[in-house]
Amino acid sequence: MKILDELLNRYIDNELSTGELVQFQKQLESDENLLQKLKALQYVEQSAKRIEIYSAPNGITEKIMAKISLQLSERYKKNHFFRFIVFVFTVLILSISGFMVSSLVNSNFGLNIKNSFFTKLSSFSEKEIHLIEKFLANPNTLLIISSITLLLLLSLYFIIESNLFANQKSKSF
Amino acid sequence: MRKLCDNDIIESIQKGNRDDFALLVDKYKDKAFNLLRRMLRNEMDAEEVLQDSFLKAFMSMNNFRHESKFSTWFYRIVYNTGLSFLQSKRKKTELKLDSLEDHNYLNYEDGKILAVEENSIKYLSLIIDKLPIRNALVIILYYIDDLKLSEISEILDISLVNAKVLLHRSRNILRDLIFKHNYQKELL
Repeated sequence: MKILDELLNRYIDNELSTGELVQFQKQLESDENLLQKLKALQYVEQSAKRIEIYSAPNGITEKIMAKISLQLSERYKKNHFFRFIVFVFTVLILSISGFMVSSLVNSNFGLNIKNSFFTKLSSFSEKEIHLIEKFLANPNTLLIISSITLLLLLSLYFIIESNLFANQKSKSF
Repeated sequence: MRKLCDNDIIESIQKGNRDDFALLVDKYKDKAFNLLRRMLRNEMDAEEVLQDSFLKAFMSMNNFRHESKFSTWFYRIVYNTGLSFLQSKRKKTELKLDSLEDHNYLNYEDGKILAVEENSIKYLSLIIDKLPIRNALVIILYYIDDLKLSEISEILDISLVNAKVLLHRSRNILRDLIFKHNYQKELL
């Protein structure tokens, strides 16, 4: 049965070799049931091309274009919101860093040093490890470092998340 | 006047003329809607998914690399969006009906359709709607949209051999029903 089905399909698709075609035609002449099945298959072939096509609703093009415009404007707003968040984090990080450096310079060298900031910084680098240890021993300093780390991690999370989302969206098709 | 082909339109959209996307919508909306209507078996769902499919296609337009025809690439989006919709609606029964082994179900539907059919073409159209989704789609894509089996295999994400087997099985079940009701006698 399956062999006959296969033969019928291959006949319809013009895939039979000359030898197979001659043999199949002989079979058709002697088998009325097979002939009727072939006719039924030919009927499917002809009629399937003429079946009803469902047309898209009226005004669908306008709806789609409006949806695209809306999506684009929302995406633009989202971008601005993300940029604003990044800007706030950057300002925060810079402010805390600036405060930390200035407080360090003041606490370690006092206000009597009247050299430029860079001179203070180079002097600071000359103070060996014990100075850094002293610096790290201060609980306030640790608090500031923790805050900066947290802010950096949060910023990093936002950046990675937004990149991953964009990549997923572009690869989804 | 030269008729714009898909690639001309896509190039224009990629250059920033996003309103030209309406030309692609006009060209493919009926074929895509027909496919979705057959797939989701509901007009409102088909319209919703059609809008989503075009939106996805627009948003991914810059990723279209001309490796396949636009129609194939777009049909793939339509098919995948339709599948996601079915999964989200938990229409698992429809997804499960991926084999033609369920003869009792089809015979029951056949009886119902036979009671209301106006002519044999209408009968065929209604019975195609009752076939498992992929069997119905292969018939639509092959006969109505005139796609090659290689394109159909790409859209349905199956091998060429499987696409051919799917077409043969779908044709055979339709043939058996036509044969059962003697419609082949109407053949000229």
